[in-house]
Amino acid sequence: MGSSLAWPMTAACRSEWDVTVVRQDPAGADGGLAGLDEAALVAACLAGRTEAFDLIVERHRGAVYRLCYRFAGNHEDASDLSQDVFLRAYRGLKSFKGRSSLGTWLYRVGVNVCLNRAGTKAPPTEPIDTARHVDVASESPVERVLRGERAARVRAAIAALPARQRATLILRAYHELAHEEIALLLGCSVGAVKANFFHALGNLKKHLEGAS
Amino acid sequence: MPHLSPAELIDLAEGTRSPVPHLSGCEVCRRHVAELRVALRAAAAAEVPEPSPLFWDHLSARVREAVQAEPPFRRWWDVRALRPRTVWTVAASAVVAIAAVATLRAPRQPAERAAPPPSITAGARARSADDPSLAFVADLTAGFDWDQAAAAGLAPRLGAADKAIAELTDAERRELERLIKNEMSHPGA
Repeated sequence: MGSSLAWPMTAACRSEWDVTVVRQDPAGADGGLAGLDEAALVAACLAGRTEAFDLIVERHRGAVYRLCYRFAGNHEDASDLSQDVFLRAYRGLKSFKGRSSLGTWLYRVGVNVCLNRAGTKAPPTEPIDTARHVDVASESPVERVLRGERAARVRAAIAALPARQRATLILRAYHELAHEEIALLLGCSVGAVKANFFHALGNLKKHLEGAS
Repeated sequence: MPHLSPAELIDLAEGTRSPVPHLSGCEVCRRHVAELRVALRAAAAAEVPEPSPLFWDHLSARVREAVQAEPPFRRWWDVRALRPRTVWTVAASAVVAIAAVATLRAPRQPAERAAPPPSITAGARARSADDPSLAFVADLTAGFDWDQAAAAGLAPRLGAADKAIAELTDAERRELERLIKNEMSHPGA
């Protein structure tokens, strides 16, 4: 009689056993930091509790990554940029005065990092990879491919924009920052932000028309 | 007819501004607004591909590792945050300041009261036996103590003997030394 490799787990536990796992951690694994607001988290970081910065990273890593991806156009560069953004944010944490939200402040750090890294050269964009796209249940495979192609063309067109136009378009169109916030981040007037946005959309349209 | 500014066109395309009368009469501006709205819709199509679920924890781990390699935050009063030159400068200035204050505040040591000769009256009484005038003075001063003599101006001023000795010539100093030795070896002689 041979032995089965697929030994069922349930057979290992006797029926009379009642196994209960009790986790004695009344303060929580994060030492009670989860309930703190942004100002308290920043204060905890400055007091030496690096786990507080872990929480900040966890809360904002999605938005920072998406911002970096829109600048970089590919996953690898976006990942490196994201790490760089958080490291620079940690180093400059003392300068966060709470006048804006932590998210907006991180956007500022992120935009500066991305603009400094990007320079004037357009970053490489990823080829179409249907497997990495969001799976829309009601979408046919053909529609999914077409959507992916359009997205890749748009990313390539955005990547070809001048730095400040690219930054303005990304912050306004994708992160829905107010014109006034963008003006603060980029250090320009609201009128300049709207003018940059106007020219960015115009150039985007020209690139898409030229590509098609 | 002046056209709308880029800022106004953006506001109209985004719907943050109500349509202005100029639009109804300007084909150029209406076309601009329409093209901006098409570009906005096209831009919205470029979503960011969602990375692997493992990516987020990996990113957090990389950031944590980088942060742990950073030096800890220092307070402004932490001397370890200052440059060594600054620390030495501050320390040296503090030492000089403390020394100056200590010197200025050092209490002046009062001049030591000259101890009275141990046998001032005994010696006087011994010599007065031969000299009637000295005997007379000895009788008058029998009950005198040093404080009363000093109050009467009869005791030498503090430091007067030291001052006198310091002003002696070498020959005078040698003669004084001989007299003292002679007196000490033959008291009352």
